[in-house]
Formats: sequence, structure tokens, C-alpha cells
Amino acid sequence: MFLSKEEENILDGQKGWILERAMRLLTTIGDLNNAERLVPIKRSQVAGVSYRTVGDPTLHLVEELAREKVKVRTKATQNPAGMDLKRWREMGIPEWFAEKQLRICRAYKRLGVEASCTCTPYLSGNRPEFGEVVGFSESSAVAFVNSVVGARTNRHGGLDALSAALIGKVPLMGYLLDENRTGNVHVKVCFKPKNETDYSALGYYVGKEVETSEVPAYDGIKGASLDDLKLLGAASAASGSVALFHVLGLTPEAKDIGGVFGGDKPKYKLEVTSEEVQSVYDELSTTEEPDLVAMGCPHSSIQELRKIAKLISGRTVKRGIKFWIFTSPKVFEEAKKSGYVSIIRSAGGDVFLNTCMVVEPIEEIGFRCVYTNSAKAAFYIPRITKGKCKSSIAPLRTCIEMCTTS
Amino acid sequence: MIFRGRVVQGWIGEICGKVLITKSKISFLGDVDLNTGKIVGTDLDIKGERISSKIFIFQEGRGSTAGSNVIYGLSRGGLAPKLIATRRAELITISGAIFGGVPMISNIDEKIFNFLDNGNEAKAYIRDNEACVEEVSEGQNVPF
Repeated sequence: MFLSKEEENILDGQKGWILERAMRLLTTIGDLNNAERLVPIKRSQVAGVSYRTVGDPTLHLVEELAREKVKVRTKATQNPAGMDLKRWREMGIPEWFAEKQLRICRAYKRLGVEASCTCTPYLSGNRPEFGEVVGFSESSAVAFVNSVVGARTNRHGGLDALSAALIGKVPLMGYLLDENRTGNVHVKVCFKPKNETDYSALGYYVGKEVETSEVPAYDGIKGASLDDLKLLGAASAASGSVALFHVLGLTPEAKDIGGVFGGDKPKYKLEVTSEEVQSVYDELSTTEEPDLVAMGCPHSSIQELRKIAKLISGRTVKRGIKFWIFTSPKVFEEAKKSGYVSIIRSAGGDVFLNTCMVVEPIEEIGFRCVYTNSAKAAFYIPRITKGKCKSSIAPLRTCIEMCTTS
Repeated sequence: MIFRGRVVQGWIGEICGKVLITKSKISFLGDVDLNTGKIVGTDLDIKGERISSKIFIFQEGRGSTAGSNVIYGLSRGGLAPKLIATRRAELITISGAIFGGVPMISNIDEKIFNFLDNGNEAKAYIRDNEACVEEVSEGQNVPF
């Protein structure tokens, strides 16, 4: 890989050990993936923030970086933390956890990584433009900005996204290149999605079936909303490693069937009928009774909050079950102004920021079974809680009917 | 038989250890317990095994991008594998290995998945800039 004199100096240690390691990581990745050179970026999304998932090692690492006074060179945003940064007591988070979590967020902030703590930076003030090269981690955000926005990023890990933010560059490889962005799997959607969870289940199924670096092109989806695609992308990035997908007629790089495959034939066709979608519902289900209904994986948009407020208005959350929605600070402010938050709270539900049901310690809080409309969340919850908390997917409408009375 | 691959994070001399091998993809967040180094992913054939001190061979990383922080954390806790070897040069795993100083090979010869079994003794070394993994055993290993 070609390196400029300045880049070589950094690799040589002339700017200190942190930037040297960051540069070594980026150049190793670049060399292994035949990158020609490094290219500048202006935006980053940094995963590896929740104390629950990354623990003391990352806490100490980020505090050490902060002590060395290194700073990111991009507009960088943090992934969700393990709690609402202000209302953690209301969530039932213990003091010792809160102290550690706040230390992580503060240390990242000292590096210049904004503590919005959301997986939806594209809804929260860190949205790239079509064609813009960025360095994002957070698999759901990678999928969304690549596919729905048409920006260009590879699927960075938390630590290489941080490295890229510190250096201000990424290797020119993978999804940054035109030839790697064309669809190569023709996904024929042979059923009609009835709700947002059907889209999530569809993404989950396709994610499992396709190989890494394959780019699914969905054919047959009409009328999917941005929120539907947000759920679909998050699911296929969790069950598999899909970093880029196209939806014929809908997403910006998928104008027509010829163009989406770059003039080539797709590698193979994948048909998805209601049978395959049902298999996902069967897999992501449990016989346990829910004690938490959770929405917002990825973080809820203003449209989703409006929908929830509309459905729950005039109803009351049942005793013995909590109804929690997770969102970003920016969307929360909008939702508050529009009155959605007070409608949800009057019904007995709550809206929390900066965290979600996946990365907060829900089993420590005491929950044993979560119903959610997100296949990504239902996939991770039993794994991260090591089986202590079960999970099931169901669409929003069904969840509200189940956990409220009129 | 020698299985070759590309050096991601180099090391000096020979690494010797027991093999832990799976054809699956690993999401370090969710499939591996940060506090014990145990495989907890329910759909994995190696569930219950510990990765610590093993020569850990798998297809590639998948799932959560915070997996790199988990690999880093395992290394700080003394629970990392002695060596990681993957088929693909996947970013999440590479960044965790490099930050954590865990020796790593990518683009390992895929025949390794048919020839090596869990529990085999193996050694890894670098020769002419290429990473090499070999089984260490008395007697022949008949792969079928």
C-alpha cells in the first residue's frame, strides 16, 4: 500500500505509540485487502461503549488514550452505552455500573467522540451524504448508511473505527470501490410483508443465507419505509455480516434490475417465501411470558415514536410488565416537543436515551423475557444474557395489544 | 501437512498449543464470554469450550462490531487464544487481535478445516513472511 511521508512517519512512531498502533492497524487491514492507499474521512461511528459489553479493559484503554490527549480528527459519535446517561436510576441500574459507564463515555468524549450514544447517528446529526466515504462501526449503521443513504463505508470493528477516527483516514478497499458495490445475490421476495417485523425477519433470513461480502439485491418489495429498511438492515447485519444491500426501485444505487447487478448476472437467486419468514418467527420465539416489551433496536425514529404514541394513546400498560422505547437524544427532543413522550408516559410506558435492550444489563435489572419487533435484538438478548433472558419477536401493534389494556 | 496463511499480527518463534476449530463464524460479542473465555454461542458446535491458550481456528468474525473490544478485553484478562487463524481478513477480528497483541493469521488454507480436529496439538510459525500451521502428533492423521 502506498503511504505518504506523513503516514510513514506516524507508522514509524514519530507521533507517539497510540497513532502508531492505529496506523499499523489501518495499514495491516489495507495490505491484507489490497488497498491502494489511505483516503480521508470526515465522519466516524465508534462502537464498543457499553460497560456491559466491553468491560474494564476498554474502560482502561480509552482512559489511557484520553490521558495521552489524543483527539479524533473526524466528527465522531459514540454507540449506545449500557444505560440512560441521566436517568439510569429509573432504569434500575446499580450505582457501581453507572460510575464505570460514565467514565467510559467521558473518556471517549475527551478524545472528541460525542456522547450522543446512539446507533442511529444518521438520525442524530452525523449523517453522511450520498457517495461520502466514512469510517463507521456498528453493524446496523454501516448497513443503513451504505444501503439507504448510499454513503461508503466498510464494516469496521469498534477499535478500527476508533483508529480511523484518530488518524482521519481509512484504507481504500471493499465497499469504497464501485466494483464491490454492485448486487450479486438476487433476492426474490415472494411474500407481502405485513408489518415492520416481517421486514426484520426477512433481513434476518437473508443475513443467514448469504456469504460475507455478498451484496443482496431485494426484488419485489414495494412501499417499504425507511424504518422498515432500518430494521431489515440491522437484522441481516446481526444474523450475518451484510454491510450493503439494495432494494430495487427504492435505494439510491438500485434504479433498475440491470444497473443493480452492474451489468453482470447475479451469482445466484435466493427466493424468500412466507415459509422462510415463518421459520425466523419460530426461531426467535419463546414460551415465556414477557416482563419487558422493548422497541428501538435500532433506535426509534420520530416516525416510529409517533406511531407508538398513536397506538398507545388512551391505553394503560398492564401491571407486571414494562413498556420501554429506546431512542437518540435528538429524536427524543423532537418527540418531547410533539407530545409523544408524555402520551407514552401517561400510558405507563417510558422512553429512554443513550442505550437499548441489547447492551444494557437487562437480566441484572431483573427482566427475564423481552418481546420486541426487532430480530436483531431477539437474536442478541439470549446470547448476551447467557440464557438468563429470553426473547421473542412480534410486531409493534401486537406487542402493544399484549402489554396494555384499553 | 502445512497450512499457510497471511500474517496479521506476527510473533517470534513457534506457538504450540491445542487446536480449537470450527467451520462457523464467530461473533465475539454474544458467542464468547469476556469474563471466562468460554464459547457460549448456542448454535455453535464448539459450545462450552474455552478459547484461552488455544490455537483458535474459525471462518471469520461476524455479528457485532464490538467484538473487537471483546477480543481486546480477553487479551487484557489473559484469556485470549495463543493464536487466531481465520479464512477471511475480517476487520472486527483483526482490530481486536492487533490492539490486544494476539498473534493472528488470515486467509488460512481452507483445507485446515478438513484435516485438523479439536484437541489436536499444533504449532504455528512464520517462514519467508508466510504464516504456517502444522499438526504435531505421533502417527499419521487420516482425515476421513
